[in-house]
Amino acid sequence: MSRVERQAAFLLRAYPPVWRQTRGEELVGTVLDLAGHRRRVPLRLAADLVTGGWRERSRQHVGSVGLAAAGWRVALTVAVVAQVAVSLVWLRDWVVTGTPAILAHFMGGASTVTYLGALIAFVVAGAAWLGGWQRTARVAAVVAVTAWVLTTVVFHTLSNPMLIDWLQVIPWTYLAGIATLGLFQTPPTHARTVGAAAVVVVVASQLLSTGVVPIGPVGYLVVEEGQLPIALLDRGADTLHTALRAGWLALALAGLALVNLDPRPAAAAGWLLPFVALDHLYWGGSLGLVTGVVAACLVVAYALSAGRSSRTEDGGHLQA
Amino acid sequence: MSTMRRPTYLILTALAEAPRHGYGIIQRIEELSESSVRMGPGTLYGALDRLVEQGAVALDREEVESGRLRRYYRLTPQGRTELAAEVRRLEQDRRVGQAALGGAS
Repeated sequence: MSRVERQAAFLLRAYPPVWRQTRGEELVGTVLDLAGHRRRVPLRLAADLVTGGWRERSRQHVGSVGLAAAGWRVALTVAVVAQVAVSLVWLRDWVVTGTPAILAHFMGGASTVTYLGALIAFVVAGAAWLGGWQRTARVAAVVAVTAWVLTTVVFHTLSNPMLIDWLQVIPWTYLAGIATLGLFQTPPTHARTVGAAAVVVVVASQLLSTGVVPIGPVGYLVVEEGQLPIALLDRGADTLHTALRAGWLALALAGLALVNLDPRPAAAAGWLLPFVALDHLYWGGSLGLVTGVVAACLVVAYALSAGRSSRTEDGGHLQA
Repeated sequence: MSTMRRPTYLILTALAEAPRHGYGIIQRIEELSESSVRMGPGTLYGALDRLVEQGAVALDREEVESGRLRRYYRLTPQGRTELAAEVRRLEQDRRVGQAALGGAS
């Protein structure tokens, strides 16, 4: 086997195993033709092979849904898991010290209006859906998500009860999306049930955050941790499996690295150390960098995990 | 009507002339585009897989040449129809553009 052939065979590992078995020999032959008399695979050609392998893995794993959508679903689920873990730390403090973990303050201004509008619209959407008024439910759901997005995107610089810290924005927005999609779903019942449950958790949790509804540690535990089963139900065991394999490690590594920036978490967090460190970093305002790095790690891991399962969907237009 | 991407257009054009294997398609694309498009095999085989799934391209035959496996691909009637439609669209765009330029002078 020549050096070029060995390099081509190595680069071919970017492709899923099944693809390599059926098309690998053909691809290597083409690479050898393109390499000509060169003693190694040209860099541009090598990059093209790696990129092609990545695309093939994502195509087999998520079909036409796309790697970005699948990766974000995993990333969002992990964000929910991280937020749940942090809330457990707060809950422990609450039980031990008797001090509520969340202090609620209503701030005036447009953000409060859109925030309350989102909550009310969610309640209306859920009630309409239960009452069989599908059109009303869908309109209300669209209004709710729009108001929610406005509050988070437009008014994020203002203090308001929903944005007590950035770590909560991502999972709550995710749940809002699940709630809306669930309300838009025709059967199967599973999606509608998950959507309805998400509506309940979103509204109840945010009322908790505002302090409007007084709630003890048990209630806090139920409401905050209620996010997790919804996120898992949305994607099922597959998400949990992928998240545990990919996101957990990425998040833990990020947390362990970040702990050096803030010594406070090391004293009390125990096994929740990475998540507390991440939460403190969020408070410090480095959300964009951390979320981007963690999300990138999750997307990479998710793509590399392809090849063991395949889901195909109709791609539609004649495009390649 | 969705616009066909240029790599797809060039692949179908290369196959419209005759069945070709992967390396042959890459070479012909470079000739057709006057070296402005140099498609790599990673890009090509991904595109071929999707075109085969969509029914525009089909496997023609397999051969072993100089110890290398070569799979030849051909354009299907559906692919030929899609390509013809795209050629008509591009020609119409060309006429419109040329008329605009001629009208502005």
